[in-house]
Amino acid sequence: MSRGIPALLAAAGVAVALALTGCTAAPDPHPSTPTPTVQTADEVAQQIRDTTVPTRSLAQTSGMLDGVDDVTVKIDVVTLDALPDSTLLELRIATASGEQADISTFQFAVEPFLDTRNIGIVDTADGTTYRPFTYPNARDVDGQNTGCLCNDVPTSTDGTGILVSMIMPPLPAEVSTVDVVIPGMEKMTDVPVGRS
Amino acid sequence: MGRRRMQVTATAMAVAGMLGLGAPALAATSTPDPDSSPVPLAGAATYRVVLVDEIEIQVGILAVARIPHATVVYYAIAPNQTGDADVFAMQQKSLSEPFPAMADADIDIVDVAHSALYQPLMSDGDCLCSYAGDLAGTGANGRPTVGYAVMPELPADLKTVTVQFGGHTFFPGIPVDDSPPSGTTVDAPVPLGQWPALPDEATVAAGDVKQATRPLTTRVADPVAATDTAPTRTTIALASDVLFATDHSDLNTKAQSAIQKVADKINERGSGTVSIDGYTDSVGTDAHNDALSKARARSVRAALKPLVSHPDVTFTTAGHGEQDPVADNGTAEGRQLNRRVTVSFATEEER
Repeated sequence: MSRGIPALLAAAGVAVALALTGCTAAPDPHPSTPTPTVQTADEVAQQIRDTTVPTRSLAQTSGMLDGVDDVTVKIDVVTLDALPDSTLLELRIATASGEQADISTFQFAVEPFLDTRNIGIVDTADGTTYRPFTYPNARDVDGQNTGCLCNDVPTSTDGTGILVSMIMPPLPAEVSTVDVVIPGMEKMTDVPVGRS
Repeated sequence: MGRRRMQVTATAMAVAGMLGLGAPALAATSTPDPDSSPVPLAGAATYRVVLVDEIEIQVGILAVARIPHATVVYYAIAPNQTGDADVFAMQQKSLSEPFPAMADADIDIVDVAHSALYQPLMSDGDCLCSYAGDLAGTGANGRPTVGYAVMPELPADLKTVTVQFGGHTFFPGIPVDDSPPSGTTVDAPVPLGQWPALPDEATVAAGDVKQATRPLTTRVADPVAATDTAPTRTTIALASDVLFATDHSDLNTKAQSAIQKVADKINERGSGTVSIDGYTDSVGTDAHNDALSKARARSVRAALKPLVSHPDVTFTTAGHGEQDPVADNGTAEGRQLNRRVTVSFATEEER
């Protein structure tokens, strides 16, 4: 996904000069350390167009999704990054068959939520499970219809897969691997935690 | 929509502000050429959406900048082959949110340090953000189209944030600039290199900050208890599988330490009424589950009450059977999470 943009070098004035003369630094692919660059509109347009959907996999599991259709899916951990105040988890959900299929499901949450709020990361040292932050919606009268810092399960996917992302509480500094637990799927163990 | 606009003056001061500098670094220019004007880029990503066909959305977060009374997220979406941005593939906010149809309001700023999520401001029924029609493309030049969302004023100590975009992706570590980017402002659609005219200052000042600022709930669990902590309320879900034998309501020997920890939290920060609620999974009859959940809630109250020393606290109990599940009863993990007794209480800030 190449979220990260090159670090602005030590002297901001140098960066301004570089930007105004059309010179740019090479992109830093790490998503957790972006610092703004200042470039021409054409260069920024090109950088946006040059981003690609990430294909990496830190771990993989598979299983059946209980939805409108029962669909066997593969789920990859694409990103697991410890941020200064939180943890970013990105997963890729793809059909095992490679065919496009409807995968709407409550399996990773609970009705009426079609999101991924019950996916967790487990610090195996003490068994603590971290799940995505939630929040009350503005018109949530009874406190039950909460929002989530997690994406909905995509309506449909294919063999290439769709990313879903979520923000969870921060992990302790000493944690270097976690288990990733997804309801109805085999647990992914010892998944490395990225730290910048 | 009646949105009033303000022009952002193009000055070198703004370039300096964008870069976090305290003083202008360049002399002011007159009418900048959009093709050569400097443009910031703080993050970029591509994500796929599979609807009838496959769609790839390419987006850049240009800047998160402070303005009077508020904060602006500027972003750019690359056009597809027809020159339009695929804004229809951007998710709309939940119906539980107040945003009007076609408002591209699914943009949030995450502020974990202050336990807050900031959403676009609403003012007089209007979203202070770009609408789908504003992002309809910039014609033949193929440039990404620039959109914006005006959010509440961020705490002064916040230097970087995570931006959620379009219901699909998060951009961590985006710097918060002290002033908006410089450049020419134009009406939508805005090609990259120019900037959208923002609502005027009075409209921004009238924005509903309370509505746009949502408190975050932190969700952390251990094998015995799942604790949801919001700024003014804590809910602890004790795992029935740990506290009770199957189909029984007598607390076992492992329960005492778990309940002592709950009491400690109430003594430390709790206030008002402590609600104790029993729940089961969906296995079994309603009558059995209702009775079991009620009996378990009473057992927890009987054990908890003597441990709570806080003088202002009162207790209520209820059993809900299989109602209000927190997880899908179709999986073993989900059923386990649903078998629980929750203890919830207001924290001191709410008193």
